[in-house]
Amino acid sequence: MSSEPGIAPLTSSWPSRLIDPRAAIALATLYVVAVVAVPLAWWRTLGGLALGLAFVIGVLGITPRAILGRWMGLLLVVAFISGTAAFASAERARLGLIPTALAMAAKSALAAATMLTLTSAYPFIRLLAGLRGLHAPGLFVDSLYFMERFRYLLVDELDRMMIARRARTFRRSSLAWGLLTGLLGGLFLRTLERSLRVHDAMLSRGWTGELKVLDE
Amino acid sequence: MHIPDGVLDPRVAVATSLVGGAGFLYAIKRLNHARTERTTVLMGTTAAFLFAAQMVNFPVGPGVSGHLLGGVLASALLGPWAGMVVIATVLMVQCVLFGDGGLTALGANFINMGLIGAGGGYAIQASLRRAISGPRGTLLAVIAAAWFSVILASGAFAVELALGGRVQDFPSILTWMALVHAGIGVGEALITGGVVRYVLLRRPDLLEIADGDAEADRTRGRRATEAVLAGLVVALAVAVFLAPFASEFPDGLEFVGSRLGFLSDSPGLMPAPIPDYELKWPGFEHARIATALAGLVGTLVVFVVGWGMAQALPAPGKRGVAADVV
Repeated sequence: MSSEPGIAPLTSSWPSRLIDPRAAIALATLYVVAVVAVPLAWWRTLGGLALGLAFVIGVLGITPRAILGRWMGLLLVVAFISGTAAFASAERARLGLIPTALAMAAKSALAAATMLTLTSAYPFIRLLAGLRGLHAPGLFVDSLYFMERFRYLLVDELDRMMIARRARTFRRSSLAWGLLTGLLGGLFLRTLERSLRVHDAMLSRGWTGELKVLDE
Repeated sequence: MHIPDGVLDPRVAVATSLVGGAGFLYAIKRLNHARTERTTVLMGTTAAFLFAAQMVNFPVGPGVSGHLLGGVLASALLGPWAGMVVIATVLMVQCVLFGDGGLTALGANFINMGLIGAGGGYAIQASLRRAISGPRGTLLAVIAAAWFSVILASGAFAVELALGGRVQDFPSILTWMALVHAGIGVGEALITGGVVRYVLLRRPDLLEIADGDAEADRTRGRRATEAVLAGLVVALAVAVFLAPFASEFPDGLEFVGSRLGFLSDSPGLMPAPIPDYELKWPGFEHARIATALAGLVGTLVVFVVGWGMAQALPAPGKRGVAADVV
């Protein structure tokens, strides 16, 4: 279903087959809570947690490149928000502004790497099944499922609109706000109409709302 | 606006998780009562659209860019409860699949963008809709609600930061956040208004709050004018009230930005018309006056653009003619 880097293919590696997705979600959540609970500037503890995560990534057989690109892209945002939060932090008086910001950024980056590892090891649909197994509201899980499924419809519709625009305007220039927002509205309506057709087709083929994983 | 893990004080993270979780479960409960076969399809499509739209950043100043939050857009299309759950869906996918936004900050992010952005935004637009009827009223309402929802969400973020930190820094954080997000709010209002305008022209049936009333009586017309003027006055007052704090910031947060490198690493795509939120006019060299003027100009721009977009809509009762973009 997915070919994006950082998102697991439907065929999972053997360790992730052994560990139930419910347990994986719970473990990842506990790990992130542990990272967040570590006091600022406890660098050795953070380093130990980072080594543990690196070990898990190795055992799961995830190539670092699969998560590195997306993780690096998050660092700028993490640095910005950490800088802002450090300014307001009570720890600033004790540690100083820059060390506080760096410690916050390190914890944020480690937590983000954990979530990227989880999604690299498990296909999204297995994570959804895990969420359902953990008694997340069915309406919410269904919305997540349709969102992930229709994300690809949206990209496909966007491609069609881009091709049509290039074919009709013969140039690629920046768009005025009015045209841009009109394009967004058109993209939304086209995707909505197509997603409703897809849903009708799913119903006609026996869709009952139950999530199924092809590799099990 | 997406708070990562490790930024909030752990006590604040726990408190916001509880409040956000309670709000989310209440929205689910309300939504379950009105659920139809296609509810999740509409929510999934809207969530996918907002997810994609949030990936497109627009410049709001030197080194700072913003993106659509989408709370008002979601609640305008689906109603407040579905709008909140859609925002929760987007936040969950961004957090889990892309590491954008923290797991322990999901509650805070949901409060800011779901409860306040979608729920609060819906309350604002619904109030305005009571005073201004027809599609023009709908459009004006969502534009105003979009701008205010971003400001309110940024204020909530400042409160969350201050609760776990130094309370004496709260005015500085609030002002900085509000000023930056005043610019982001303009983009939010423009995008939300543009999309809603298109939907009003092509599929007005989709808009949960659009009543399509073509016969607005004169009394309601007067109330509409009064409501618009009152809204403008409130917006201008907010801009002027917030602006005087601005002069405290260049020393504090620009220092943080320059030391950490996050201000110089992300140049805007185009030069900002009002750099540093200060109008560099001769005779207006005082930072507080210049920033207050910038706030006034920003607010007026949102108002004029919103009014212009509303006037460009076909009059009630006439058939709308939408340009086929493809």
